[in-house]
Amino acid sequence: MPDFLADKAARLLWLVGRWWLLHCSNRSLSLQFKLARRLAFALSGDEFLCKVMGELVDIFGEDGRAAEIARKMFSEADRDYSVAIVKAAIRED
Amino acid sequence: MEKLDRVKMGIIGCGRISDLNILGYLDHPKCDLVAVCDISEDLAKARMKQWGAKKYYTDYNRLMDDPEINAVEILLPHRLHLPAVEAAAKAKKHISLQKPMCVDLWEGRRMIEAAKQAGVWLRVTENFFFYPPYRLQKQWLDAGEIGEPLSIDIRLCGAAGGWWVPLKTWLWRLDFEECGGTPTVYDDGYHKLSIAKYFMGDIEKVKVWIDFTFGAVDTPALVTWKYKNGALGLWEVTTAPNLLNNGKYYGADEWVEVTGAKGVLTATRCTSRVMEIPPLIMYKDGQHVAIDDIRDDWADSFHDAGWEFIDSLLDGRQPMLTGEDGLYLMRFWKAIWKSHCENREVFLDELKEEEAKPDA
Repeated sequence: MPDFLADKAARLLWLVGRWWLLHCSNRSLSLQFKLARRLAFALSGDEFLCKVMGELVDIFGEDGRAAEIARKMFSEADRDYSVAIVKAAIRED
Repeated sequence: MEKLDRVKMGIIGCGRISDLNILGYLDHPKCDLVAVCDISEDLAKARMKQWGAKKYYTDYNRLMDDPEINAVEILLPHRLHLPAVEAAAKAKKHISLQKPMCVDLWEGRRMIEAAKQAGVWLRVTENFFFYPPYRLQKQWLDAGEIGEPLSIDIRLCGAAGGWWVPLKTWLWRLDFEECGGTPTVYDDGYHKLSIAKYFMGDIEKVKVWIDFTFGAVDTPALVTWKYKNGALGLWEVTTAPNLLNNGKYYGADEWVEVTGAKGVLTATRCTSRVMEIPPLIMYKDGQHVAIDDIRDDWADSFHDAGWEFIDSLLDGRQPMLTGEDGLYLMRFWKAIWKSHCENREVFLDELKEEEAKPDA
């Protein structure tokens, strides 16, 4: 993927993802991750992706300190730094 | 203290890092792995099979009651270190405790007293201390190869990549109350502070600057200190999100450089191998000496730490890295945090009174 496109995609993903995470309840996030895990498994069969989503289901499902810290990280994250991480993930580099 | 004929180990805590802590215990000819323990029964059973242990427990108090076991390796979250060490001492088991030793300084003092009263050895495991290139670096320093050491420069670079660590494990480390400190300068930092002390001696004072990423990760940071002998120390912490680290373990690597009056000694890696250059390089008298033929996998340091514990118990001597050493490093961390919070130079001696037990 060209660099400028990866950059735009990363910015969009970060904005949408952050808004979504900060505006849903923990229980709702847990259910959505559960659904996303099923979809991801059906579409890609990627075990690692499913494992990560499974952990997110548990973290938000428990509605405890771990979920609180995850939310704090998303709310206080530096935008440029976060976009760089998302971009790296998109480009797998 | 009496010598043991064989060391019969119990492992308490079977999470990610136990993959490495176990190495020395599995291949030492005079060590038997008797039991493993984890709060997750599935994990405890899996580890028992994987490592060939005889039995498993889900409650460490049950493991402590096992008369067959004479030593334990404690690999638990930091908040649980004090009760686990006290239980082990009460059960007369020799103790290897994973770093960082404690959350509060008085806890460390209580652990030392508990082990002393019970007549068991206590050591605080810190694998960097046993990393073969660092051991050689220290030998050369002590032999005066680069003259009087003037400064130490430690660099930690976190990067993308590394092995899988469960998200929940990361998250409790980001919880200051649960972890007992910050994830980088305190938890991972214990390794670097240990090397700083091991190489150059006692620290007089520290001054730091710490920033936070994601509101919880203490990076980037600069930690500076002055040794009692006048030498200087600097530790630079950086995280590079687009730097791919293909290491087998954590996505991080270190660089440790000591400048002496007549030369420079540099260890170019530890946790992984970002630079494909010799692991240890010395410059003096206009010449470079590069050491290539040395064990330099991070796992070697865990292996050797395990062997040292077993050999010490067989010889009836105090294992390296005593409880006092562990407590000293905790005081170093507390001074760093105090310097960050109060934005001033902090002397390590200011922290001594915190070792006293608080009133109930």
